[in-house]
Amino acid sequence: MERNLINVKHMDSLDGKIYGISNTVTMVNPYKCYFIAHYPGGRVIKGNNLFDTGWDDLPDGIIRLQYKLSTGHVINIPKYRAYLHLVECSESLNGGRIFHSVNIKGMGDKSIINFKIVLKQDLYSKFKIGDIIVSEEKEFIQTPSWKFAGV
Amino acid sequence: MSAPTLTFLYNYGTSDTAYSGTGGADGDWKVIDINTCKKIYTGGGILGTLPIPTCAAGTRDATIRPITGVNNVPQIYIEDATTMYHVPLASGNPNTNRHVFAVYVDGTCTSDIYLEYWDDDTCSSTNLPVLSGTSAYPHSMVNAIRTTASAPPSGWTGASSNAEYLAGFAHRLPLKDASSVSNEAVYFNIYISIPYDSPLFHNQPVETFRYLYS
Repeated sequence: MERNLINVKHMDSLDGKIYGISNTVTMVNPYKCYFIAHYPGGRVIKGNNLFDTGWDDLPDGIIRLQYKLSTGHVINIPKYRAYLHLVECSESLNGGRIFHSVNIKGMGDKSIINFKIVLKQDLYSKFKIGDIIVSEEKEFIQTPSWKFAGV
Repeated sequence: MSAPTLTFLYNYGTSDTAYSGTGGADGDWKVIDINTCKKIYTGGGILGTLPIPTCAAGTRDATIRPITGVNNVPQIYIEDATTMYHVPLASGNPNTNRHVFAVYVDGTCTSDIYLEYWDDDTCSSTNLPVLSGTSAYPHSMVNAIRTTASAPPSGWTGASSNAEYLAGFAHRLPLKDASSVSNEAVYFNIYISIPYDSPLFHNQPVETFRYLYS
């Protein structure tokens, strides 16, 4: 099955427009959003894009984590014991796909802190691309995708 | 890990059996091609029901609004460029059929898969009459139930256990009721109710599936 993005076909180097009945959504370019993981000795590993993120290929030992959006925003994530990177998206039966956010979860001593990086903006929402919504989560997501931080 | 590949499927047969494929057509299960297909709710009007198992693309029968109570739209078809394919297990809902529509996940969702209905692809509003309801039916007219683990009860509605009146983010339906979905199919049944005080409409809401991945 094809996985083309019919609702962002007008996407240029910066973003994509999704036109609805009464609203217009502007979304990041999913091919130009990626994490930047820093390791001891100056080693840096960049992710790929929102489709093939590359997160699970990362080794443990991250000393600094950033996220870069196609719009130029660079988000610095505070230091935690471990990190989890999750993309939130929706697929529709008419072939559309929309990326809502990237969620970077940081494992603290007693809780999980979620940094929700907004990937879209529209005419009504108070959140814009690059906004960060920070929340505390009590529930731990069990997945092998957690990456431990380096000392 | 990369984004999982979701395949949307419907049971074209009359046997209520699970999908045993790995992302393609398999037995009575056919793929809903998201580039060419539409899901059509129709019937219950002048024609009563449309021909089965197929009819020409573009065939419609407007559902009659009842004098009292609700009238459930009796048929669902999957329409491509030339043909409409009847989904027999979705006829006569609310029924107790379990394996009607499915989503196969190739890869891993680090969350449940949430079935949502929106006005359009922006996933930002639910103002269409079919999603906003009426005074007598004060919620979405789209009834859906999760059937991944078990068959629905007879006479189920969006208010039943494991069910929802679908409208946006607040009224969405998790299809597995679990924290991850990996290399497996999840199932649901769905129908639309037309209440007596409904306005006349021809709506085209968007059916979407929301999930997380690493």
